Amino acid sequence: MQNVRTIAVIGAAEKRNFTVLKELGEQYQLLLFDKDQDALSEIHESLLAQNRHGYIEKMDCAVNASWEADIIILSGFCINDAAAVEKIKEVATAKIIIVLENEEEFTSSINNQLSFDLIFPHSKIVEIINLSIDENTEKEFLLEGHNSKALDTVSGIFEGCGFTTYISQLN
Amino acid sequence: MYEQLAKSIGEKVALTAAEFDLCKTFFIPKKIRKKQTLLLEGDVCTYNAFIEKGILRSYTTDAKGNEHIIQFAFEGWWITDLSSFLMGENSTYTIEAIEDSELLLLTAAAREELMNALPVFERYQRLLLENAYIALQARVNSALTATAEEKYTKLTIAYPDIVARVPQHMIASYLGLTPETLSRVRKQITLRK
Repeated sequence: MQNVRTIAVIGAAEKRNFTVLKELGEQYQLLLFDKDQDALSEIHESLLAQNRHGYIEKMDCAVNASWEADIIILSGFCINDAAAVEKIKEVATAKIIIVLENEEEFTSSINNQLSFDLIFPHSKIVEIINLSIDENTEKEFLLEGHNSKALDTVSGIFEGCGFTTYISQLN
Repeated sequence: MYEQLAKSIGEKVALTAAEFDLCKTFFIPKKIRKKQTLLLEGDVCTYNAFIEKGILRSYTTDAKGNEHIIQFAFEGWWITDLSSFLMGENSTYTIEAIEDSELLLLTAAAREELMNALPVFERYQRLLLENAYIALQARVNSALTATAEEKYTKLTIAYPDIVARVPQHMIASYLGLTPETLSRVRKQITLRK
């Protein structure tokens, strides 16, 4: 059994993560959710336009998307929305949760950021900060987290998609 | 989400509510759709799957492309390729959902950690394995000695809802019969009633 085949992306309408989703969609099944369903439809159609044979599905429920997934990505609106992420807590046990942020998002929200380790005590949190300056530069990501296996798994996924990753294991 | 697991464990060993809460943290909740595979033949089996809802089957494929069903797993059952799961070898089975299913997955590492944290879980696992071995012996015995009608009758008595939930060609494959033979057997049984 392959450990990772399906990835749920909660907050998938965040346009700055389009390149990441496009590359992930080449190799994994993606289940996309966003509370802004119109923006989600736009992203979904754009992804399908670039990858007609990909298994990329628009979901209308974050819980069902996360329940089906092997890995959950939190991005966009839900990074600072405790109520939204609390809903998926029960179906995220023992799974890797990737918190995908852009550098500016990370810097501006660092003081009032949710503590994902506290919200998901039985999941493996990996925070990913997109270090790339713009769309044209090589995609580089800093990976932070406590669980070394989860960091290695996520690094393997991102490196496998052609991205460069730097791991920072927290104590 | 954990009702069947609580029932399955509770039938074999005693666990306090706090112990069961701890136990739950080792399992990965996973939904799988009808016809989706959990394990592909040739891959290493990394999960022992407990079925909360739905039905799964494990099967192997011969050189001619024919599927041979090894096991069905219903609510409250476990399914895995045990030698692959425990020894890390490539699997000889594919595991697939027959219905939309809700699973609780346990990795080999999590299983070890859970047995260390809750020794009673080791007893539960031992009892499961004993029962599975007894069932396996009965299945081999039946395959070697029973008639087609006896095999089918035994199966429907043991699992009354199997006929309604599992396609006939899969039941035939599980019993080692052709679909035509199974159809004939069912007709004979119906005529006799």
